[in-house]
Amino acid sequence: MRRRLSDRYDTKGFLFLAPALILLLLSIAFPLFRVIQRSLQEYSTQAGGFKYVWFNQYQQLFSDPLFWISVRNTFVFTLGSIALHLGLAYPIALLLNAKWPNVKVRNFFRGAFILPFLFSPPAAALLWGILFRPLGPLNYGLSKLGIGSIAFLGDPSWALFSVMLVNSWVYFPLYMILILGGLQSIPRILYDAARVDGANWFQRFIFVTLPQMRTLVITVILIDFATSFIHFDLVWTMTKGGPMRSTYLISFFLYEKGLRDFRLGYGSAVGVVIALIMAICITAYVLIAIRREEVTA
Amino acid sequence: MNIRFLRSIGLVLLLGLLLGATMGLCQAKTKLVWAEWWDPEWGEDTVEWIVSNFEEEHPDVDVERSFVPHDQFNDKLLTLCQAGDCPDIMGMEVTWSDAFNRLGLLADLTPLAASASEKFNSQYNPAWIINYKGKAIMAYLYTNSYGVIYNVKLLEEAGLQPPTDWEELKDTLKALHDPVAKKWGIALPFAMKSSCHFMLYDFWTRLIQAGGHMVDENGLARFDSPAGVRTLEYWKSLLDENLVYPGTVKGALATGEKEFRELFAAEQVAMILSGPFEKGVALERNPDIQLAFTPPFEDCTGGYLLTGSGIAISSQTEHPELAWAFFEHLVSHKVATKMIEEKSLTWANTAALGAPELAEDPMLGPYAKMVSNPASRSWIALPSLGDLCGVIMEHAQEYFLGLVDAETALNEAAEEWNAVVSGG
Repeated sequence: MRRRLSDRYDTKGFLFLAPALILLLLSIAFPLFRVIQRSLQEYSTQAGGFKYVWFNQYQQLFSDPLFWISVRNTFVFTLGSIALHLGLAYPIALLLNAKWPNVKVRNFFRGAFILPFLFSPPAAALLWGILFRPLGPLNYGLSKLGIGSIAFLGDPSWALFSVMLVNSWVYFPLYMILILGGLQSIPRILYDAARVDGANWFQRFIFVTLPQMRTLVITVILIDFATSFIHFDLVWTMTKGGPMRSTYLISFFLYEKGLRDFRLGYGSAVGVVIALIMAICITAYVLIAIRREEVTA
Repeated sequence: MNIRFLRSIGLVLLLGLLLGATMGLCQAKTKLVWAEWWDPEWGEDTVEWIVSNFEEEHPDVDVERSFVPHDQFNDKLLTLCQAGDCPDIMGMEVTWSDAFNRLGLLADLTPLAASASEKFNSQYNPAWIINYKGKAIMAYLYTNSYGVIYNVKLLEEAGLQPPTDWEELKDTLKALHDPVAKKWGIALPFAMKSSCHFMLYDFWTRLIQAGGHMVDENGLARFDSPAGVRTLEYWKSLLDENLVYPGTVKGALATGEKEFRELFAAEQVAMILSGPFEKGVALERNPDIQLAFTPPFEDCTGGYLLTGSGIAISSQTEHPELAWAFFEHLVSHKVATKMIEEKSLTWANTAALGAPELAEDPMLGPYAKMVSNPASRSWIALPSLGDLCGVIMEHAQEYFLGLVDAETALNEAAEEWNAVVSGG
């Protein structure tokens, strides 16, 4: 026997949800639809507006070598940034979560480590631009150590790593705070139980901390992936994609084609492709993470 | 009582409305909107002086200034114009003009120039009007050219005379180079973030001097030539001989405009290759600095690149003739004289530029010779200039790093250049 919708659900609830749903539709679904629509169109002066060119923009995009350079650089930048962010944030968070002889000193460091995040990206770019100068303080230090001068932003083999380093310096405090919050929420009883079982600090870290932090770390990686993949301002200010396109990111490609050259259709196609790449990567990662969690559970 | 009171109120309101409307009609002026980015460069007083002078001559016109910073100008104006709210007169760079023109936002200046005043025709070089794809899309307010500028004090202290050609420049740089004290004679912005600076100031200028052509009349590459090779080889020779700050090729590829201006103003390098506007920039950072252009160089030709900034008239304006009149005012002898004398800008007015006192000026004197050389060439509006600058810079960097030879670098650059121009 078929049941009516009103029998299954309290339809009044939908009324209360309606404003939020409408807002969601207006703010997400509509722009998304417009971007997809624009990616199939091109502005025509003769037509006095946009006309459909269907998949021409995509065809042009996929045959542009600069696009593929930007995709490669973006993946290296994103994965490198995630590794550096976690590599910095996790140990520092562990350190700041540990017992210190003086709580005030620990709190001071908790504040101090957040400082880089307070720099706006252009200010950080300016600061590191000075530090990275061929005759700047970093190279002075390196030459004193007998290492010699490094063209951090002028050498194509160093430039991408250098901007990743700056990106990590600016944003690691954000991830550090998240991880620190996660560490503080692990019940102490688990550590006490491990101690009773004779676990040393390393075993406690491997068998208590890491499993307890897994969900949070997955979230951190997802946030980092989403923000690093479309990163723009810091690297743009420092190198504008050079030298020899070695730091040219996909967001630069989008900006240059869509905004600087005002090719809205082409720019929209780039935007759609970026969204698709991100969706595929994030979905794949979440699926793998969930499967692994199920296996370990 | 109440009805009478309400009637009185109504009457007063009606009278007020009538009075307001009459006053409005009496004061109705034609409004011209001028979008500009020059407030910080010329000073607000100067911009206001230009406007008020025009309004005095045209009492029925009200010019509304709309200031937009230079770095936001292109994007904001494109957005405004596409929304149908285009200013009547807009500041315009050649680099931006293609994007505006492609969207049909620029009025054709040809008919307006054809009916220009006699005074205007006698003092404005027609070559300062930029034609693109059969249409006059913008006109220069001031012209720029790029040559070697030196710090007078630093050269005097080193007992050196300003160089008079490219080989002498190299000799001067060798004399100024002190690796122990970490001193170099010149800084050149060869970083990708300054790709347009490199293409225009360093590559194109040197190419003209080497007797080459950058593009043909359709904007397609002609720099892949022996003159192009000679141009790249010259710059690489300076890098290879460690004559450019900071003494390494890779270090030079990280130097941008900002650094090179800082180094020059701080008197850490004695020379740069730039335009006359550099004086104002350096003076702002170092009020004691004394600058001069070297005498114009001559290699295969004595020509220099002519560029500039100007204005365009919107295709959406309801008052194209008035907008043109405002442009004529901007390049009038009165405004030009003020801008040359007070702002050291080479204003687009032949009478003002030909003033004898200009020849005495260490910056503008040589500059006037550079721009008046018959071998000097104006650049043309090019589509996607940012991409084109990137193409030249990328392949030049490959050559500077020794990854390819000059000919290969230029051939590859030409191929990509033509693809961009044809696609645009």
